[in-house]
Amino acid sequence: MGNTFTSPPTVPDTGDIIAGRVIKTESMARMGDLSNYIHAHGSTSNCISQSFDVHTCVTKSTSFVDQCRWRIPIPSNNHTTIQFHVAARVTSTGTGTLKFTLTDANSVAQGNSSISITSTASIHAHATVSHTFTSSTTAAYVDVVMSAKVDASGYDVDVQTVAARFTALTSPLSAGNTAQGSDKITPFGASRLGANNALSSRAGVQWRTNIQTMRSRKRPLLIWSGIENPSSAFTGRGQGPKSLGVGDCQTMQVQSPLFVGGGSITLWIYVVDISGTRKFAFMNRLFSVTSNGWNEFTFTPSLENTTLESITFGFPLYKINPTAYVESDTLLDSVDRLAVISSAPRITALSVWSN
Amino acid sequence: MLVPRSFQPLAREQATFMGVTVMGGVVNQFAQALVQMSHCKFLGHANYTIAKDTTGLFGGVFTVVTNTNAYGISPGLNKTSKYYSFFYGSTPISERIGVIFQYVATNSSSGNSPAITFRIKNTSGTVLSKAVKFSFPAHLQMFNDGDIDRPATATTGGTFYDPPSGTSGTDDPRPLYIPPANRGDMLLFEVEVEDCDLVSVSFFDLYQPEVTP
Repeated sequence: MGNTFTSPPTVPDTGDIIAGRVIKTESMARMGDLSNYIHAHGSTSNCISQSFDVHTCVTKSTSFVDQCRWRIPIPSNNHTTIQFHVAARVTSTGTGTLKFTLTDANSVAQGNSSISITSTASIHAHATVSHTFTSSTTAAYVDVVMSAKVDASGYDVDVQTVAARFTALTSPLSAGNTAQGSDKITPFGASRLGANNALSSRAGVQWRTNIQTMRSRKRPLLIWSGIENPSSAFTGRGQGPKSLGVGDCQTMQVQSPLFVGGGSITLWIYVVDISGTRKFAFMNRLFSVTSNGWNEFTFTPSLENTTLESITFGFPLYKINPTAYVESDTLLDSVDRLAVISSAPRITALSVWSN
Repeated sequence: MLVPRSFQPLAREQATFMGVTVMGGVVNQFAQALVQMSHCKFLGHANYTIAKDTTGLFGGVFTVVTNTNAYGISPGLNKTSKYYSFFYGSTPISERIGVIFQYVATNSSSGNSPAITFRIKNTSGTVLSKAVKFSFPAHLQMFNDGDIDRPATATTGGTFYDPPSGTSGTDDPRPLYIPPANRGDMLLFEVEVEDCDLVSVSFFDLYQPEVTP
């Protein structure tokens, strides 16, 4: 009675599930299979995707300094392993170390893992580490802080790309109910939906509950961090963006699908040096901020304004980006504000999710 | 079966209670909702922004600000030819990958043959399928210095073509192809940028409006 699933999944033939047709066990079995597959693989593509030009995300520090922070949604309570992948190098023979430290939404430390960087090749080399939470959690998200150091002075560790994904669950799924936060998911036993078994009311209720739960599973749309504490053994390096600025409204034009009936978008911004009430515009919505640290907002997007590329790809794509707002109370940095230099209120990380 | 692109309303919970006749429409709604998630909502994706040097004009260093310099897009940004490595968490149903990217290409220095090549590798560095090359003027635009205030956009298009054969050489722009053996893996998209600069890039599984049961 394993909660197995096939990968890639087989889909039911909806032509068989209509009024007047005999309900085939094959269709039921495939629906159970598909439900298990979605729970295992749903939202396990990239949850962190960020890249830096050469010599921008660098440090020469011989003790760990924080460089980037991200807030990412956890697919379910069962998804407790996350893989970090980096493309990085050191500027001369030596060792650099990147450390990923995780804290969940309940403020529980979930451990850390490190990657050693020793490549001096001009093309940044791939390195990876897989990290498992140190304790089970029902949290909706986890904060990841990447810190870095080098073993000796005189050179830099230089990061080009950071990516992460949760490891998908394997077949068969664990027996019994599980959850996504506090929302229930019930895996389906493969043989329960086979021939000569009752098509129970319970199966229908469980499908419906699973669908509702997994529809609410978050997809990370835009996960961005400025570069904290850059330093370099070389003149003129380490000048990457530290905060969100006016230019990002033009260049941060990520396109992601949004779905009718998908509900609201969750927007998190990490603010430092706040004073008074400041404002920030995102996807043509204006938000007021009064607190340092992570601030959460939710809003319902306008689904009328798909991008031109939606036509090309036959898919409803939307620009997920900050909107230019340059009044005196803005949080966007600019040459007029020089917020980093003058320690003015600014945004140093951004995280956007949707159903 | 058709793959819905929206979250359609579910049947009322009472429709699944004991003593209620099992209706084909109810089960059909559940099946469509499941396929919407597996083949639409949870398709693979990766959206990369690329942090740029923020050194300003006139040699001023605004240790600040943006993905551009403080005055908007600087001409050509950094036109040095370079390689980027982007990681892509593919899914078991990933097959063809669409790409939308933003770039800046100007005639601000001697190298004026902008080209961007996308190549899929596994994380060990083995090329998995034939690369795709965007070049000027067939696929990319190039501007005079100061003519532009925002990056240009280009895409691979969304055509479902036959899988390419071989791994050497390049094709004109088309969606990237993941061989069956590598679907579900973390993959490396190596991007070679010549005489222009890459600003942001989105990779995503192509949506298929219909799948065969």
